[in-house]
Amino acid sequence: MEHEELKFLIGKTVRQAEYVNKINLSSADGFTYHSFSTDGQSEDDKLSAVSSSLTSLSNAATSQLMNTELISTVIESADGNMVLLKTRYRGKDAVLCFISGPQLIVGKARYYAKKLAEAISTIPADQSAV
Amino acid sequence: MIHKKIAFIGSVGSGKTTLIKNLSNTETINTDVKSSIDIGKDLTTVGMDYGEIRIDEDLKLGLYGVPGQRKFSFMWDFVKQGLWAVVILIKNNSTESIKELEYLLDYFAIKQDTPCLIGITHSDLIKGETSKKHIKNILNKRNLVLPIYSINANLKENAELIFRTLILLEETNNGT
Repeated sequence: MEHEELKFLIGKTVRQAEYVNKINLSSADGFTYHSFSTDGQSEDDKLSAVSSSLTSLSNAATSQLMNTELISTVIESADGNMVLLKTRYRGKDAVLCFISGPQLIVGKARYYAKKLAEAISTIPADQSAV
Repeated sequence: MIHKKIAFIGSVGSGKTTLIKNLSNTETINTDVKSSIDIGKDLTTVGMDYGEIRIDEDLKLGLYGVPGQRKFSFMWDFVKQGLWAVVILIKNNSTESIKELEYLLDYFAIKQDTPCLIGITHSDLIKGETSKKHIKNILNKRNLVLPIYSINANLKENAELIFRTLILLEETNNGT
């Protein structure tokens, strides 16, 4: 089944982390693979495009201006945090976007997002899906 | 120091990234990633290209290239603020690229007094009727008279022609 393993990993993270508002996985060029949202609001394509742009800009800033490698992009707001991470999904470059409520401190949000990105990158490539 | 912004807009694969690379005096910043769909090339811009031309000690031109896909239009909004000039690139004989012209003219609110020119790219590679006639029709409907050039984004001379034309357009608009 398409994206079943991905859905399982996201569900597991949502249960462990709590206060997760949205988790979105997209291709590096901004096409949605899968999106999870607790509020039922669906702006997946917009979120995928924004995630892709922000990650590429962060990547450009770190690699081309700081001569180092991007780890994550963290956006803090009054209503929560957004963590963006580069990952791989079924052998292709991808971007994970993790949005949590203000109850989850930024360090924890980053921890769960990183753990999820690492788990997603281990999902083997499957020619029949993606 | 005065910083003027030039936006490079146009459909996917029209040559924005290449042109900025050739125009810039400095190493450009680019945000290309591997495309996951067939767009006729491997890489696509998803963030923004940035380069600079330093005219003299007091004037610097910032070259901003935006992604061609409409889903990234939030990046267009960012670049749109405080623009000095706009360069619209059209891929020769591409229906999609010509159709996009109307949308871009509206989105970037191009008026006759906006320093703006249109560059037709890939004329050397794609044979057949040039897009110039279609572009002129679109401009005529809007009472716009803009310079239209066939350019090769890989040639530095073509990039310089664009820059010199924009300066000339501004001087004409200012009556200087």
